[in-house]
Formats: sequence, C-alpha cells, structure tokens
Amino acid sequence: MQCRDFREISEAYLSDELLVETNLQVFRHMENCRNCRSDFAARRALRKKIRSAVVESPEFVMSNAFERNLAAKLRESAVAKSGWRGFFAMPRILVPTLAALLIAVVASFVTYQYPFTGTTSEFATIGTGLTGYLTEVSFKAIGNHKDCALEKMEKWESGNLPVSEDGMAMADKVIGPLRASFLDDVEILHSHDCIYEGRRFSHVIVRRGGRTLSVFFDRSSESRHLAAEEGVKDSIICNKENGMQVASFRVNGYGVFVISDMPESENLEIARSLSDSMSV
Amino acid sequence: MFRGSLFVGKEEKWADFEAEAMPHMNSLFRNAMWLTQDRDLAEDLVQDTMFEAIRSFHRYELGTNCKAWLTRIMHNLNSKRIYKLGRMRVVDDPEDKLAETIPFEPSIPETLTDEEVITAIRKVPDPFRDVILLADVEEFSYKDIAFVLGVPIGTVMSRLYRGRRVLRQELTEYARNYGFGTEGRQIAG
Repeated sequence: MQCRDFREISEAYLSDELLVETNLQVFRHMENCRNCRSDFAARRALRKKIRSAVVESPEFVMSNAFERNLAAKLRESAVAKSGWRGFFAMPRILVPTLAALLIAVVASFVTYQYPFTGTTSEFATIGTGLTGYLTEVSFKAIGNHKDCALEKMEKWESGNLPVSEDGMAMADKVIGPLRASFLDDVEILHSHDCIYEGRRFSHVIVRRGGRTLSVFFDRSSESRHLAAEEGVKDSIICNKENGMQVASFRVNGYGVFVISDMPESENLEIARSLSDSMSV
Repeated sequence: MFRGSLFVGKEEKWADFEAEAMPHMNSLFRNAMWLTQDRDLAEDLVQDTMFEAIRSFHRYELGTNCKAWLTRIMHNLNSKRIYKLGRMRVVDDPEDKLAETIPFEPSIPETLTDEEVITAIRKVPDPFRDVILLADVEEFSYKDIAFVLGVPIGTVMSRLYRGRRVLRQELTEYARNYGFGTEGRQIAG
C-alpha cells in the first residue's frame, strides 16, 4: 500500500468501514510509514475532538424541563389516545377499515343493481361466481319465458302435446310447492326441455289466476358444478326486466329460475316455497 | 405476544416506544440544534419528530436501529420545514466547487477549544456538516447515514471525506488568524 492509497481510505478506516483484510493492510502501512501514522493520529484526534466538543457543549444539551414535558405529552398521547382522532392516527387499523368500507360500497352498488332478497346469513353462503351465474342466466330465462312460454301459449293451452317422463317428474317437483302456496289455483300447462341461446333448460309452464308462470331448471354442467354444496340452501336472487320478475336460486344441482309478470313479492314467495321443498 | 399485531395494547406500545425511542432524545436534540440553529425551533423539531415517531411506531421493527430511524424522521421533517419557509436552495455541484477551494491537505492545529471547533463546524456547508455530525458525533455507520439522509453510500463517503477536509481547513485558518501553531499534528483533546 502506498501513502496515496492510504489517504484515500484513511477516512473509511477511521470510521471502521473497511473489510478486515483492508484494515490489516492499512495497519501494516502505518507501522512502516511515520507520516501516515502521524496523519491518521491527527484525524482520529480531530474526530474525538469534534464529538467531545459537541456532546459536552451546554448549547447542545436538551433542558430537563423540556425533556420531562415532552415525555409526559408523548405518554399521554400513546396511552390515552382514543376517539376518532386516535383512530385516524392508526394506519394499521385505518387502512383495513377503509378497504373494508370500499368493498362494502362496491357490494352495495352491485346489490342495488341486482337486488338481493335473502337474509344476511344466507347471502354469506353465496360466492360471487354463483351470484354472477344466477344473474346472467336469469336474463336468458326471461328471454326463454317470453319466447317459449308466452309466444307459444296457444300450443301449451291446447293440452295436446305429450309430456315425457322426465317432464312429468319435473312438473311433480313444481306442482306440490305451488299448490301449497296457492291452494289449488294452479295448473301445469306443459313441461319439457328447451334450448335458449345455447343453454338447455327443463321448463315447466304454469297458469295461475290468468297469469303465466315459468319455472326453469338449468341442466348445464355449469349449474351442476356450482351445485357442489349439495343440500345447502342458498339465497334467492331477484332481477327484473321489461316487467318480468325472476327469482333464482340454486338447489340440489340445479339453477332454478321462477319467472312471471306477478309482483316481486308474489314471485319471490313461489321461489321460496320451491326452494324450501326441493332442498329438503 | 407478537408486538407488531393489530391490537397491541396502548401500555405495551408505550413501553416499547419508551425503551426504544426515548433514550435517543438527547441525540435528536443535538441534531435539531445543528439543523435549526435555534433552541426553540430545535425543541419544536424534536417534539414533532417524537410525535411522528409514535404515530408511525408500528412501522418500526423492534431491535433495529431506532436512533437512525428517528434521525431520518427528523431530517425529513426539517426538509419540509425548510421547504415551507422557502429556504430550500439547490446548489449545482457543491462538492466540486468545494474541492476546488481546498488545494491541499491542511494539517490540524495543536490547541483548539471546544468553542473554536464548534465555530469551525458551523462554517462547513450543510450537506457536509450533516454527514460529519452523523458520523463523528452520533457515530452512525455509512449505511445508517445513507438511510438517514436518503443518499447513496458513495455520496456519504464523498461528503465525509470532503467535509472533514473543509473542517480541517477551517480549523487551520482559525488557528492561523489567532496565532496558534499549526505545525503540530496532535490537537488538544
């Protein structure tokens, strides 16, 4: 090591920032170089002098009164902090709370767009995927109701069309709860399978008090997949479009959609009775 | 109990803060005096720093360098204070300019009092003085100084080297003006 090298790293050596190997080189150089040894001693002395001058100077010493006063204020602030001011000063709590609030606002907006009628505990069992599925298929079911049930009403009213065994079984699932709800004032017009916009439904058409009601069962693999929680009663999702009410729910492997032009409460009542009887 | 959890008790939090942060108040005050050059302003700065620290204490990892963390908060608050006062100056390249003014390595005067050393430190430009004080008075490592000032370690080393050289120059000038000898290498300590 040359004297020039030593001067370059002597400050780092003074601050104890060098590697052990380099420290050793510096030490060896100083052993053999009187000038550098002397220079380093002066630098070290200056460092000591700077520290002692500042630390021991009364000018840089905090007053006891200020220290005590500040300590008391800090303690009071830390221990007695409460209320909204304290709450907002705690980012660890504030940030998750604001995040939860934001989620709640978004959820409220979605619920407003797609009204939810179940109880709070029921809502908790529904995932976003299922809610989205029921909402999406609801609008297809409304289209199918118009296209299949209402447009072809004469065809169903004739009563001349045969009903398959599957259709009969499906109609049986529907007629019991409906009669329980509306006494005997219900009539099954027809039960069949139909396809609307690429989705296959089992369709039961019901007449009650001069009004036509459709109950659709989605038989697609998507609904079966979503029905993995067998026997669990989910909430009923309500939607409406062009004066048609649809109440949808999932039960035992099916997405079920009840559609009519009845008031929402009545349509929902039918869906509830179906949901209750089918999930047993 | 995990101290960093959401529901740390207030007393527990205060106990941690008291143990970790309060012992550094004197050091903070020294720093604040250099930053503000005024006792009242220094006290305000220390108070603001400690309140900011207690609010942000959940971000501090227990057992790490609390003194460096507090000092960093103080420097940040002081920068805001200066900015509000409109006194923030941007210097093109102070390090190069300073280097040009110091053509040689000055020796260190023999006999200097504390007051003379402090007067000389005051004459060192702010960026260099900050590093000298953090390194030599507060005994921070280069890494901690870089953290406190938010600059690369290379800048810390450069400022420290140049700052100490400026300081020696100031001390030599001071001694020369007052007729002290400058031949000796050892200063009074």
